[in-house]
Amino acid sequence: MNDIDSALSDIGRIRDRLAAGTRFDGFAPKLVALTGAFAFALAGWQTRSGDASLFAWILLALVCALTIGAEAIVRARALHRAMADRLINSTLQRFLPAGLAGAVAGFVILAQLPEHARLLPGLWQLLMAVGICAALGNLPPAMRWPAAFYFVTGTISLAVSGDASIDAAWLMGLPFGIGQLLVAAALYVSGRKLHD
Amino acid sequence: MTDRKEAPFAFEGLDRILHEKARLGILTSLADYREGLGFGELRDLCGLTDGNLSRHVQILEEAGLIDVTKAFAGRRPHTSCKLTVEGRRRFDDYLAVLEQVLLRARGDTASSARRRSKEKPA
Repeated sequence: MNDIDSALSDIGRIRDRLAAGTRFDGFAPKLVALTGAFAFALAGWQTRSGDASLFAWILLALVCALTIGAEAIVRARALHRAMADRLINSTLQRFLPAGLAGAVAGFVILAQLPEHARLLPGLWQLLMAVGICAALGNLPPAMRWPAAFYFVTGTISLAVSGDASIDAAWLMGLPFGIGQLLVAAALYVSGRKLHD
Repeated sequence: MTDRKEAPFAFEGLDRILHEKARLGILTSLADYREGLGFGELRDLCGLTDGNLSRHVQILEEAGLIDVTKAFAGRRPHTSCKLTVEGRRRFDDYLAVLEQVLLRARGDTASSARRRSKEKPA
């Protein structure tokens, strides 16, 4: 390795460290709040129609993740300039394992053990809590509150999943609706504090 | 007069405030610590005297790149420094430009080496 390569590797290392300790401001609070509203709307629609299919929730989660992700990339490029790509990678690397675990759990349970599908809302909420906690190094400290909320609701949802009198739609809709509104509030308040 | 936009070696992104050995040392040391570092730790990491460190810290603080907090730890005064959000962004912008300069230099070195090997008589 010559001097230039060694200097480039040093710079890359410093930039990685800088990104690892920097707060990611790419998430748009309004868009996150909208995903919470969608969760309430889908739960309401499923209750009325009597169709509590989890596939509709998977589709909604995919659409929300893609929309929030695309908006985050655009915002990050404007706010974080040269650091944007490293910050996006760093945040994704921390959150992605929990997201992948949720996808695998969903696929396996729905394909092989559909009779246990009522466990999925609780599992997904717990994994959401784990994902947020893992990415806390790049997120506002206030995000620990939505993470704690998802942890509590995940535990409750798992505990009551055997109770057939509770509508499965609301096992998803209520925690994710409130949880996403809490995430949006944490992002909004932290963003305001930063600019004050 | 040369158009500055067309000057490939103007290196406008190499911020003068950051482009100084001691200040680069301070910013690199602080890059790792989101909660900041104490004055003594910073002095030891950068190998600077108290006076020198104070001067450079003041310049960085006036430029809005670092926050300096003066408090008491027990009965002893304790000064700590941390990178501001803008400081993190500007330091990364600076490193990105430096990276481009080095990548270009590496490209030039490689192409001149190829040219030299072609020019060598058989």
